[in-house]
Amino acid sequence: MLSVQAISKSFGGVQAVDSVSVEIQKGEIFGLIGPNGAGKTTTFNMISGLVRPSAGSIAMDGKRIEHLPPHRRAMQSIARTFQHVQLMREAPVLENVMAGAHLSGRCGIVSAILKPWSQRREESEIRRMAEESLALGGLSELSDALAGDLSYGQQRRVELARAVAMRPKLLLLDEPAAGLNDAETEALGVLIQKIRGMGVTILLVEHAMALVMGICDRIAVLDFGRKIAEGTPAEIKINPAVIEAYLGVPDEEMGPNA
Amino acid sequence: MSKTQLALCLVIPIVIGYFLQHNTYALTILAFVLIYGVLAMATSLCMGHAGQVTLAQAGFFAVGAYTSTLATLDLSAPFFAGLLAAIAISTVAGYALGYPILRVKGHFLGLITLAFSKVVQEIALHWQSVTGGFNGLYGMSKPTLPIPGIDPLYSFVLILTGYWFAVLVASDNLINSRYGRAMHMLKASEWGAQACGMNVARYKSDAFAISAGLCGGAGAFYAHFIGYIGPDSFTLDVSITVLAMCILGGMTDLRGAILGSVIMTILNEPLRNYPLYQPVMSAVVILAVIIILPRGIVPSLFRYYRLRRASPDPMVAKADRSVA
Repeated sequence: MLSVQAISKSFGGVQAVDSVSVEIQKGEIFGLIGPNGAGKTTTFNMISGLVRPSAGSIAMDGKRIEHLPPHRRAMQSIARTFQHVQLMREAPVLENVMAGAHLSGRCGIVSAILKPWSQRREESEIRRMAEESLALGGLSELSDALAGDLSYGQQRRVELARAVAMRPKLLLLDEPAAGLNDAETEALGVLIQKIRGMGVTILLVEHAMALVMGICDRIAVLDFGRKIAEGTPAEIKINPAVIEAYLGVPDEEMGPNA
Repeated sequence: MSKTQLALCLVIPIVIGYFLQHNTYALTILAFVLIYGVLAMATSLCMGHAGQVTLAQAGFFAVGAYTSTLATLDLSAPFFAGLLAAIAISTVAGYALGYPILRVKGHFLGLITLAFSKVVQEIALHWQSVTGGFNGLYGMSKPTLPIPGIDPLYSFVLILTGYWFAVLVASDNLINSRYGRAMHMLKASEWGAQACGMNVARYKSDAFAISAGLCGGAGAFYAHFIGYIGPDSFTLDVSITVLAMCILGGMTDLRGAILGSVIMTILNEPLRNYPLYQPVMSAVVILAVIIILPRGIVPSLFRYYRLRRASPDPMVAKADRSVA
């Protein structure tokens, strides 16, 4: 589904990402982990389009996308969430999630102003898609609340619901568990698996080991900008290079909050 | 806005104007309220909804005024053709300004748009063969409706009310659509908007162009209402006053923009003969509102009622009863 070939990025003299390749198969949950400063976020941003790779190629279903700006990648059915939530704080939750279904409408300035019948039908279709993703995220009761009034954990769920409302083929999650407590993280894991159940492929960049080890089918480990390992969670847990990168004895660093 | 509110917005100026017939002074104030109302709504769209700081209103206002004046005087076009030309040319000017400054944000956007207004004013002053330079252009006549027995000034106010109301309905429809949602998303977070597949560059330049077109139309009405335009009709004070209106009423709500235009026009009226003091009034209003009601009147009221209704605290409910 997503094929990343030898992408590199350097900022000034710092080689943030050095020739990283990963292949993400349709329908899997793929984890990308690594110690702080390993280049996870830069890799993620190159896939989502905020950062252009200095070298290498990224292809979605065989179509090259590394030169596309972020909104054109969204048009290739690639959705994403942010580490720091990017919501309309002053708008109701439903409105925020409806923004995720933006691409399923085509209403422009003129039809927005004249409000023809087709525009109303399109709007109610967008609303229906948004309500579906709200229900999936367990947020239906909050649909009228202002997004800015919600707790941090709830705001992250709203962002996830917005990404799902896009009906993406590939969903990129940037540290979705950051700042969540254990119970919230567990609920998030269940939700991510539910989204995968809908046929969405997921790339998860995450620090919370319990979550990554619990739900990922395959994991790639980055360290100092290079990929040092790739495999199933069980393989990664016993990989000596990974253990070395995370400094310390296996028992400790693979604990719940490593 | 609900249908009732929209209907009220249409009926109020028509009825007030009807009873003010033959009172030229009062009708003039009403016309200014409507003209400034359009400018304030345009600013609300660009700044309050799409989040793009702008002080270019005076510039677009001038572009529209000169365009319609030249169309009616030099080409002997009817007023409505001049109005359409004014809207079209200032929309083009809006894209011409909006496109090159896509990468600029916040205060810098304010400065560039302010410079744009200044540049338009300088062109009006120095391009004498077209704009008449310092002497300006005059001789435009007010459009009127062929209704027998009504004050011609009231008839002009009716046409102006038509434009004002069309701007209101169009803006209201726009912000409550898929398109408006993209504008709001752009204001809240450009990254978030891109992640939803929105072309940020397009929505930004559109925001400038839409507000420019609306201001240009207001300029056409202004020119034909006063019958004279010159460089000193379009000073930065216009932009500042409009900004003060939006801040006072509430930038994020069209009703706020309208309320602000009503209050500020009336507040400025005693200062009409002391134009140097009008910016002082704007400054006082802006500072007072930012300190007392940072969201502006209308959004603050809505937020207050929302919080009060949602508040489960019995103490608050009790306090409310005792006040009642």
